[in-house]
Parts: sequence; C-alpha cells; structure tokens
Amino acid sequence: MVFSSLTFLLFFLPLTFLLYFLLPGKLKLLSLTVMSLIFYAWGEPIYVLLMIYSISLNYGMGRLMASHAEAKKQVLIFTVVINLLMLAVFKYTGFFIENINGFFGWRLRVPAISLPIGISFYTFQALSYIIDLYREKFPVQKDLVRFACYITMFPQLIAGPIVRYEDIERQLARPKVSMVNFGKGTMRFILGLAKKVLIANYIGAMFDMLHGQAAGSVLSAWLMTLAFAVQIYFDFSGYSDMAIGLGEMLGFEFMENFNYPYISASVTEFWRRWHISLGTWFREYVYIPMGGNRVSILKHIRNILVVWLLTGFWHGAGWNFIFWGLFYAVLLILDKYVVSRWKLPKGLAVLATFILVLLGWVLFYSDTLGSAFSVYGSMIGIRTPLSDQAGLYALSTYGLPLVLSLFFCLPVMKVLKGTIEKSVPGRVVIYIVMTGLFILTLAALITESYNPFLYFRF
Amino acid sequence: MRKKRYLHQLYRILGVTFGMLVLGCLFLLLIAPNPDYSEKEKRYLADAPKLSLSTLASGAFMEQTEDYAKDRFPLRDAFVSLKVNLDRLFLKKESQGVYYLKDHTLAERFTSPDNTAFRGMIQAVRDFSGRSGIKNQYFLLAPTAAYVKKDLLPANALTDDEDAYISAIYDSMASSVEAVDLRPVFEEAKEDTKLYYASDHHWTSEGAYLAAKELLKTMGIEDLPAYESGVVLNDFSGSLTAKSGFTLPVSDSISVYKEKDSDIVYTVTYEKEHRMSGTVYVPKALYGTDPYQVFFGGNYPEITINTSADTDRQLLVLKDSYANALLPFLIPHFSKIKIIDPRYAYDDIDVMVKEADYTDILYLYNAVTLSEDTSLTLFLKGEVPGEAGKQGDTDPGEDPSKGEEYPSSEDHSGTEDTTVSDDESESADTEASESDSQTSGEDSSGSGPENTETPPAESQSENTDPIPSDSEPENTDTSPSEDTQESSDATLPPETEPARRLTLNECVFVGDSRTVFMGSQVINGVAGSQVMDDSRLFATYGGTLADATAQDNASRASQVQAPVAFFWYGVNDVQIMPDRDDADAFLQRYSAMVEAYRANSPGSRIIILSVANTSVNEKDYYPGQEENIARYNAALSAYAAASGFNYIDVTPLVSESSFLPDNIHFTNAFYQQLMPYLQDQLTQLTTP
Repeated sequence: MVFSSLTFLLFFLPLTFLLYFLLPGKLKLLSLTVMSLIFYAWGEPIYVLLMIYSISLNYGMGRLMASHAEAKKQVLIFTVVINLLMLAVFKYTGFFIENINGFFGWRLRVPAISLPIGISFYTFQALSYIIDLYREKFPVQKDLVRFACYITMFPQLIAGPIVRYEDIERQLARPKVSMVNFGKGTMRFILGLAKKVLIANYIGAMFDMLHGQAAGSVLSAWLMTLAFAVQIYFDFSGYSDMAIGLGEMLGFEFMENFNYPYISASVTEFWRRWHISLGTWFREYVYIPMGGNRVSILKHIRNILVVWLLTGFWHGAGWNFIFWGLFYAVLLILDKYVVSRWKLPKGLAVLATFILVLLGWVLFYSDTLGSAFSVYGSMIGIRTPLSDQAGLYALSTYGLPLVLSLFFCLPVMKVLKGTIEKSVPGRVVIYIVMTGLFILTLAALITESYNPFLYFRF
Repeated sequence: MRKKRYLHQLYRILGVTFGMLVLGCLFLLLIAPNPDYSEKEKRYLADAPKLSLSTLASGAFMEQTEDYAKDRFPLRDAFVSLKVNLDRLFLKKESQGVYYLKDHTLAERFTSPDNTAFRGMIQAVRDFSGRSGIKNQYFLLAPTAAYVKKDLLPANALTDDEDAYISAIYDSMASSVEAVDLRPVFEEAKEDTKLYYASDHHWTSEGAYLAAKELLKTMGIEDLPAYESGVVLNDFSGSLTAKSGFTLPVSDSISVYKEKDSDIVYTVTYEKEHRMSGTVYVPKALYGTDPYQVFFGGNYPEITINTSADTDRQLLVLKDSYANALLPFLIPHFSKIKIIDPRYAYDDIDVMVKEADYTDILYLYNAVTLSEDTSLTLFLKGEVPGEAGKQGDTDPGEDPSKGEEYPSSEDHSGTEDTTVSDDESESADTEASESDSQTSGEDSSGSGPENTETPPAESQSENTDPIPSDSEPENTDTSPSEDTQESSDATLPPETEPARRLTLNECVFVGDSRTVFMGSQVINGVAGSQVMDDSRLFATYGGTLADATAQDNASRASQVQAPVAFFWYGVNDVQIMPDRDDADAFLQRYSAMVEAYRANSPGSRIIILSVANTSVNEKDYYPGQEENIARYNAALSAYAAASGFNYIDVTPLVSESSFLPDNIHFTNAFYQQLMPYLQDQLTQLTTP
C-alpha cells in the first residue's frame, strides 16, 4: 500500500486509528503491528512472510545474545551476516549474476527475484537493533509485540526514515498519544502528501517527457535534470514528512530526514541535510567503527570511499548507483582536504554545490554510464543545439511550476509559517491552506483514474 | 522541544477537520448512491472489489479496491474538474493528447503514422482504384484543427506535421485518385468561419459545407442549390472536453443545413440493420451521449441513400465520421449514394462494386483518423479484421509465375522514406509486412503505367511488381544463390530431399511478433534480432490465428515452396482472444492455417513450435495463462503427431532473462540461442 492512495486515506487510516485510539495500553501496539502487517501484505502478499521471518530471527537472536552474554560476538556476527545475506539475495542477486556473466562470459541463469518493498529499510533497522544491543546501549526487548512494532510500523516501513532502535526504545513503552500530537502530525502528513502528489508527480511528468526524447539540447538536458532534482526531493522528503507526521499522530517522534538540502554550501553539508537517517546509520555502523576521521589521511580516504560506495549501492542494484556513490566520495574527499580551505562567498558556494548535486543526479537517473555521459555532453553543448522544441515546450508548459517548486526548496515557507502562526488570523490562514491542500491532493489522486472511453475517435 | 502552546488549538482543530473529512468521504463512498456510469467520461465506473483467495494472492483485490475508491469517490467530476483546471492555471495546456488553444478551443494532437501502415494504405487504395474500373475517383482528406489553427496552438507544442502528411497522401495517390485539397479553402475561411467545434474533434456543419462545395466543384458539379442553416443544439460539449477534462468558457452549438426549396426526396437504408429512414438526421441523438450522431445516428457498416435526383451519377463513399456532416450536401447530385465505413463493414468490396453501377468513388477522411486507421487498408484488400480466410479476388495458387518474383525482389537496402516518416525510426521495411500488397498488386499490373509513376521513395513497394523495369532488386538473401533458385521455382518437384544439410535460411517461418523479431524490423522502438532474413519471415506483429493475416501469412509463405515451414503462433491468442480458455478452438484455427499453407505447398515438412510463455511479471495480468499455454501445447503436439508433422518444444530455452523489459518479446541473446537450437533439431529431423 502507498500513502498517496485513496485506499490508504479512506480505508486504512480510519480503521487503524480507530483501533489504536480506542484500545487500551498494550493492545495499542498489537493493533498497530497487525495493521502494519496488513499494510505491508497489501503490497507484498508473499514477502510479508519474509518480513515476519526477519522479525522472528532478530528478536530471537536478541534474546539469545542477552541470555548467553559469553557468545555475544558470535551471535552478533551470525545475525548481521544473515540479515545482510537476505538483503543481498533479494536485492542484488540479479546484479551479481549479470556481472559475473559479463565478466567471465558465462551464461548463468538470472533467477527472477522481485525486490520486496522496504527490505533495505527494515533490514537496516533490524541491524541497528542487534548491533546496538551488542554495544549494550539498551536492555534486550523481551516483548515480541514491541519489537515487531518497531520493525513493521507502517509510517516508516516502506521509505524510512531509518529509525534506530535506541531512538524509539522508550517511546514504544509509552507513546505520547494526544489530540495535539494528532493534529500536529496531521499537518505534517498533509504537507508531505501535497509535496508528493501535487509537486513530485507533476514535475515527474515533466522529467518523463524530456527523458523520453533523448537529451537533444543544452536546455533540455538541464531542464530534465532540474526536473529530476525537484521530483526526487519532493517525492522523498514528502514521503518522509508523511512518515514523520503519521508517527506523530500515533504518538511517536521520529528524527528529521531532510533539512532543505538544496541550500547547502558544500557537499559535506548536503549529506547532512539529505536523507539524514541513512547518513546517520552509515556513520554510526560503518564509518565510526572503521575509525571515522580519527585515523591517518589515507585511511580516512579509504573510509569515505567505502561508506559512499556502500551508500550508492544501497540505493539500487546497478553500476550507475555505485558510480553515483563514488562521485560523492571523491567530492567529499576534495571538500574535506581541499575546498574547505578556500573561502568562497556563500552564494557562489551554494550555486556550485547545487550544480554538483545536479551532475550527480544525472548518474542516478541514467541507466548506463554511456547515457549519463551523453547527457553531460548535451549539458555543455557538445554536438547539440542550445535549445530544441521539446525543451522549449517543456519550458512553456512546466516552467512556472518548476520555478515555484524550486522556490519551495528554500526554507521560505518555514520562516513564513513561523511568523504568521504567532497571530490568530495567521493561524486561520494556515488552517485554510492546509485544508485546501488536502482537498487538492484528493482531487489529484482521483484524477489519476480519469479515463474517458474513446469511442468518440470515430 | 519548545512547546508552542498557542499552536495547540490550531493542531486540534486541524486534526479534527482531517478526521471528519476522511470519515465523511468514506461514509459517502460507502453509503450514498453513486452513479454507475460517468456522463463526462462515457464509461462505466468500477465495481466493488471481489474478495477471494485468488484475488488476494494475485493482488487483483488491492487494485480493484483502489479503482473502486477512485471511480466512486463522492463528487468525482467536481474533483477532476478542479484538478484539470488548476493545471491550466499553471499553464498546462495539454491533457491526454488534446491541446488547449489560445482562443479557448481544443484541438487533438496529430501523430504521423507508422511508415509501413502508410505505404500499405497507399498501395491498397491504388490497387483498389485500379481494379474497380470506376472512372471518377476522389480523395478528400480533411485537415483538422491542429493544422488549420496551428498558430493558436500552445507555443512549441509537440505535434507532428499534418500538412506534410496530407501532401504525402495526395502525392502518392495522384495517379489513382483526384485530390480535393481543402487546405487553401480553409486557410482563407478560418478567420470568419467557425470551421471546427471548440470541444469536439469534428468539423462544424459550416466547415462541412465549405468542404462539400469544394468537393462538388472538383466533381464538376457547378449547379448548387441554396441552403439555410439552423441551430439544433446549444451547449454541445463534445469528445475533446470529455477526453481532456478541460472545461471551456464558451460552449458549442450544432447547426444543420437544409435545402431552401428542395424537391428532392430520398430514403436512407441501413443495410445491416434492416431499417429505413426518410431523413439523414436523427434528432434523438442530440440528447444522447454523442450529439454529433445527429448525422445518420452515428457510423454504420453500410448505408444506402436512394434519391429522386435526375442524374445517372452514383457514388460510393468510403469514410470516417467526418463524412457524416458532409454527405447530406451530396444528396441532390447523385441518384444513389452508398456509404461504407471500413471499420465495421465486412462484405467484399469488389463484389459490391461489380454488382452496381457506381460512376464515382469518394474517400472521405480526416487526417487524424486516417493516420491511425488500418481498417481501410484491410477492407480494400478484402481482408476483414476478425474474419479469417477472406481474401481479395486474387487466388494465390493461380498464377505460376507468382513464385518467381517473390523471393528475389526484395530490396533491403534501407532507402529513405517519404516525408511523413522523418520522425519515425523505422528503416528497412521488410517484405514480410509489405507483401500484403502483393496479392492485390498482381491485379493492378493491368494498369501498368500507373505503377511506374511513383515518387522515388515509393519504389520500395514497386519492387514487388512484375512489370516495371526500374525494380532491379538486389538479392540480399543470405543463403547461397542456388537456394534462391530452388525456392523461387514453383515448378520444382516439391519433395526434393537435399543431400546436404538443410539450413534455416531455406525454410520459412510463419508466426506472430516473436517471429517478426527474428528479422530486422523495428517496431515500437524494439529492434529485431536479425538472426533471419526478413524474406523468410511471414509474420504479423500482434497477430492471432483469428486475424486474416494468419491465413495470409501462411499462403504467402506457401508460395516460396520451402522444404520446411516453421509455425510459431499462440502468445497473442492466449492473451487477447475471448475464447482463450478453449484449446480446441485454438487448435481449429491453427490447423486451418497450416492447411492453407499445405494447400499450396504440400511437399513441405511442417514443424510446429510450442507456444512460449511470457515473463512472470505478466502473471497477474493474465490469470490462467500458463495453464492455457500448457493446454495449447498439448493440443499442438498431439495434432503434430497425428498429422505426421514435427513438434519442437522451445520452452527449455526460455527463462526470465530471455525477455525484454516489455515482458513479452525476446532479447537478441535469446534468438542467438534459439536459432542454433532449431537448426540442430532441424538437422536431426531431416538427416536420414
């Protein structure tokens, strides 16, 4: 199931919240877990079993570690390996085999394994549990329901943010359920919904249109990449907003995942503002254990390379993602050792960072390195004209929404909201705007099924 | 976290509002009566989802739930309107292929046709015009709003060149028909006259009247009666508003023209429906879903208008719906008008022409419809979609010389095509698709000179004509030349058991798109694997055994008199045929096709290939497909055994990695495995 659907809004949410609010104490989490499993099974009727297996395994191993403290390390290694193996098998098998075939010229059959939704997220959450349990950051979770609730909780199950167990441990015992939190979460949720449905989907259509024609001009290439940058930001951050909002409605507080990444003045800063929970996870469980930056320069560079290659690879089973990670690894290393010594004016730094980020997105959305380089070529006008019809059409049709969306990438609305909410009429305005946004979102979702019977063609 | 107490009330109220909105919508969705049919979209809306183990497992239940919620949402039309018009606020000027013009009218986008379809149609029209023996032939290709009002289109709108298309059609057919070019007339009139509806893709009655005058002038009819017009409907909201969802500030009205002092009486006979009417107008339609149907009540396979006009001229019209508004103006000038709509008609056109005395033929289409149409081509060749076995007048078995020119006359050196195809990526069209024009091409050889006067780009199809000397084709057949001789000489005794090993290039393949892609064709961006020469392939993209093309492919293949014929049909049948669960029906059609082949090439060894499945990703869309395929293959293998044919199972070669992203067609790598396998099997079967 996805948040941006009528099934979720009209059927799932009312039922889930009704149960959650009406049931007492412990049953709250049970109902939440059950509904979350249904939420997951809705989209993955078979793979829900895999997730149940993952829950049982990690819960069991956690108990084992607690009861057999002398074998802590072995249990940890075993559990981590199993989790990573699961992820590797379901996400990366095809990639590995194709590459083996390509490299050795063999013809191994590539098994058709479809990717279970959210496996990257819930596996990482489970790993954070077992690793931090080993580090004795919290007592073992003996309550299976609470543990299951942590893994399956539907707000962050599909697309994050990656919630580390230690951040939520105490909240699981006593979620802060209240009307105020419900309303606050609602506002966040509506905002995320609007970002996804009204902006991301809309600009996504612009990207699709331009991507469909090969980048035929400087204008098209840049517009296409800008469109993608806008789409992925509003899509992902919108989803995170919805997740955080839903969490709040349920009485949980999740960490922020996005903090206006496109205003970053350096690549380092970008990764502190983009997909924060992932960056935190890698820092906590890979970077710091490897020594972080408290090692020799050479080792530091190695650490960055490893973390970023893994980060890229986490995003998808493809060489373009690995190169995207490598791209940032190089930039981050340069940033730390070279660029940070320079004193650039803020505006220039922000612009330069944004352009680098755009260049990175080209790698992200291109299927092959070749097509990425052809886009790069178009961007600087190698063998392409300055503008072409498709680019001009995109500009005239989507130009205004694109500019508006870019505007919303700045924290202006946050500042504006912070100011006007102080007064009563200001709050009324906010109320009207949020309600209006929700209605518009509903309109957009309904229109997706607009499908007139075309017998008029005759 | 700082507690901003003053926000708490806002949060509470917003939370409550949200909850009430959601619950309210849910309540209305479930309780309030929602229409089953959408007036605006002209279709039935989704039903409640069906709960069962299978729908749950397949995910169909989940999809149905979402569709149901979307379709039955309370105030659905209002929400859609809100969204679409909000889009317009953000300068979105296109929706579903419909453009919003600067004068607040709508126009449908024009897309250039597929190159093969274009040439197929040209050939079909020319051939039919030739063999019909009718003196006066006219082609009226009406431009649409997308062209006439092109300066009002949104800036840089991506629409193909309709003007070039119309010119290409007229130029290619110049030798067969007389063109009625409306472009200058409309260009002049467009400022003062409303030629097209704002909300519908048809022309107005004014536009039709203007066109009719131009047409009659071309026909040599100068004496035109006086007309007066009257509005029969205000608030007409047509096809384009329905399709796009845009709402227009001003609504259309429909007018109808009446002769001022008419003494002509006429009857309108709907031949297949067995009813008659005294008028071409159907006023009831004005209050229905498509008011444009006031003209004739819509489109019918065959309508005859008999008039009391004092003239010997009788007109045969092949048309689309644009004609409906124009034909009334022709009534005073013909004693009989026969109106055929090739999309619905199923009689034999040549028989119809023979049995009557038509003095004039008129083709009346609009550019958008014609560019997407295939029925005209098929109808003129005597092939009707959905009716197997109907051929044109030409019987493939008759002319012994036919075997000769067929295999050697292909020119595969991808020559440049006509202006229309500039933006198409098609190259090197194969004879497999063009050979349809062959059978009718034979008859037009009588009108020899016409066929030689072709624009250079047309020479591709000309190569198949036996007469013109310009066709000096290269033999790009990859097999040694002696094979070509063998297969092209129809007098060779059928069962020559070759002493040396038989190669695939000496065989023919009859099948659907999976066979097409053995060759070099590029269709819908998918390129063929080029493992076989196109001249050995007799296949139709999207073809099923119920199409006339199946028999056609078989009979054309039989002309080659190849030692072996491979048959590979089934994947489309199992997906789109209504009786796909019926393996017997499948087998019946299959055997009919094979018999059609054997009728002309009795000495060929017949090898039937098993129906291969599609990717597992398609599983949900076609429930029961795997079982049906198993049944088909069982039936095929039994049939082969009983008839003395061979059956080769290709499924061991097929894995998930064999499929292209479209889940149905195979990768080049697959074909590179398949052909050696088939060669291997062939060798085993044919060496004693």
